[in-house]
Amino acid sequence: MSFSQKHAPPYLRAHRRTLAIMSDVCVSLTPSSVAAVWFFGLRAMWMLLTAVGVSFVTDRLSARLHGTSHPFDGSALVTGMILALSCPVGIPLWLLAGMCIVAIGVFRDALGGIGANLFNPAMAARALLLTSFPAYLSGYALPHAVSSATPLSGGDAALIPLLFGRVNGSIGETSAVLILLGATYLLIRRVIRWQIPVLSVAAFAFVIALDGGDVLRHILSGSLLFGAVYIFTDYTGSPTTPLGEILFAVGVGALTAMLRLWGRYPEGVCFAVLIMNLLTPLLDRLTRPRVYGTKRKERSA
Amino acid sequence: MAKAFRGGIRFSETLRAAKETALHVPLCVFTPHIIHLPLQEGRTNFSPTVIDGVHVRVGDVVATDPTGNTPPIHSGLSGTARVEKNSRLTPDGKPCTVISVIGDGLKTAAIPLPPLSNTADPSSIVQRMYDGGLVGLGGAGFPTFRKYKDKTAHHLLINACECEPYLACDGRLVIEQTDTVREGINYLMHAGSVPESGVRLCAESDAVTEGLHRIADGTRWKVVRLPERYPQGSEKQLIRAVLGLELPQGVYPADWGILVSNIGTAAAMADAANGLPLTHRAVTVSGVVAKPRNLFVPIGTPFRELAAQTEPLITGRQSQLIAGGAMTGRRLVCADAGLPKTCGGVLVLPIESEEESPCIRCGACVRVCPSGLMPYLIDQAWLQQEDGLCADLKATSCISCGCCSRVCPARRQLAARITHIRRKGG
Ligand code: SF4
Ligand code: SF4
Repeated sequence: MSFSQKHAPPYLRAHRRTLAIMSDVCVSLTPSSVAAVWFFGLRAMWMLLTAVGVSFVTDRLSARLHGTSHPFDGSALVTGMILALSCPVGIPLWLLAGMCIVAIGVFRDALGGIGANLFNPAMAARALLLTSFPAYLSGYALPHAVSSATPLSGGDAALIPLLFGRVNGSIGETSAVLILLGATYLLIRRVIRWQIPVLSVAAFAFVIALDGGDVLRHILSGSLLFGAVYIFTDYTGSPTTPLGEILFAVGVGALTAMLRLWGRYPEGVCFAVLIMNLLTPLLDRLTRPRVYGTKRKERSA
Repeated sequence: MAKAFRGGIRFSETLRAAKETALHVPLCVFTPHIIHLPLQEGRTNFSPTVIDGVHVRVGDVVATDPTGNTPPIHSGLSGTARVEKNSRLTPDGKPCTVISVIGDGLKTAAIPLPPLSNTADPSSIVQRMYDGGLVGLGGAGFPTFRKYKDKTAHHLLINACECEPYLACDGRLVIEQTDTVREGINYLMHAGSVPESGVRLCAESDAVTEGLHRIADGTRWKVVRLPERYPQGSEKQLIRAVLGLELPQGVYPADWGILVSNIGTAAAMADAANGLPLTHRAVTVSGVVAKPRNLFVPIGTPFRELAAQTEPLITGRQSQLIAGGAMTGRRLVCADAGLPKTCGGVLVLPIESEEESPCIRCGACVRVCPSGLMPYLIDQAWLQQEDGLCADLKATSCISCGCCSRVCPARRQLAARITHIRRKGG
């Protein structure tokens, strides 16, 4: 008996397909992108345009190379935007373009394609080039950089978005408020769930507090918030089970803090994500839900 | 107290409104000119008991199952019987012998079976379930007599949770046929030797719950109002929610002393006890239509005639006709086929693109699966032809509810594949 999947039930299907989800992520990244251009000038815009353009072209070429007939699903745009926003403004455009090609062409498509690749493509490409060209990514001085001592305490609402990270911060991480705005949008649209962002930041804060650091300043500076909202929540790299998601969030948050405190590079998000990506298959396996009717000490409500 | 089952879906406002509208449409008798009764259902092959050209009456047996595992089929029309071999007048278009009855417009009734007395013993009620042609009217169509035969149960769950979107005919039965349903439940209770306090009437909407309260009036039956959540009406999920129990895979609830019957089956039981076999059923005609209808029609009524009782808002190439519910029904291959005993809905729905894209691991399917499976992993394992992995992932525990496919942004045919694996493996 052959299996025909044609015209099988259910006849009500989700109308929000992959492209719509990815578009929502792009929309939620818009405030941060606009802010990046506002703060860093036209160069930030060139970075965004380069990254998005190169990612799109790589995506299409790669689809042709792999002979898949799937229509464009928008994930390359998200990867491009995230890559641009997580780089410092001084990065040479060729390097950014290279990262996009490596992210989409190698870490996403050559290693399994969307949903099947192990690492978050943007972070993997970033890490590869970060270790290859460390000077460009972490040592570049920023034109308008403001020192980090701008706590939330002073100033009115309009000043809060001006919260800058470290001198070598990335262009998308400048404003906590705009990142939270994007997060709110994603939560309302149900693209992401609260578990990963909230729990990862909590775990991060816990480790920083244990170390005696200034928790609020650490949370608001650097790429933690950006990562918690846009990178940790990446579907492909995070577990699919509710419990796995929680463990992943706690792990990635704590790791980010540890890498930031004691690591060789000033920022921890990138490597923390890659390490947790490695653990995701295991987490998925260990946290499979209990199948109906099987024993695992019946939990009564 | 009612406990929630895991996973599932709460449908959108629009879909719930469509159901609510249908729930307010009274049942209306409709008699077609012809009915078609296929003699093959699943693995059962019936043999005709009539020959081509004879005259049959409403309630006459037209076919029986020689193995005795399935109750006989009765005619719902009076008129001339036609026996056609290799007819394609079946819902899935697969050829089999079909008995058609061309109505003479007289509705002459066969001599009814002698009515059962109120004090009938369980075995004669079970015999009547067989003679009356009773099968579960909720969808699976398990022969009722086999479910109740020689059972001493402690619970009887009467299922009025019509969780499929659009459908409301069971709700109408509750609201309109209070006495019939009460009588039927009484017989079911006696047949299964269930204590009066072990009867639970379950519904998930206000109007139906109210109707159930009227039915339970003056008895010790309990009415359970459950949250509106798909697939609340599924047997396993119902037992979980009402009794807080999960039955191991492969165990029939009846073997554990739990009988579950659909409200329609209860109504049909009352008729059968009064001598009238199962020849008619309630059906909702809805979907993307101007006005949904609830009809009471002979079994075997052509789907096309049922659909013609409403005004579809979409037509032609964009629309499809579904037999049953939107989540678990089947797209009709032959719209002229007859309504089966188990089918409670005829839906006009838009055709949606079935093009799959790669899974993005969003985890939605995992969260909605009421069986606690990992649908995307089973899908993957199946595509890689790893049968062992499918078994490891417990694909056989799937209840084919369709929740996973419903929520998947990549439109993976998860439910269809997993159902296929389950059937193959089980
Ligand atoms: S169809 Fe099967 S796998 Fe899919 S949600 Fe329902 S029970 Fe789970
Ligand atoms: S819902 Fe679809 S895309 Fe999401 S994990 Fe399941 S199969 Fe993959």
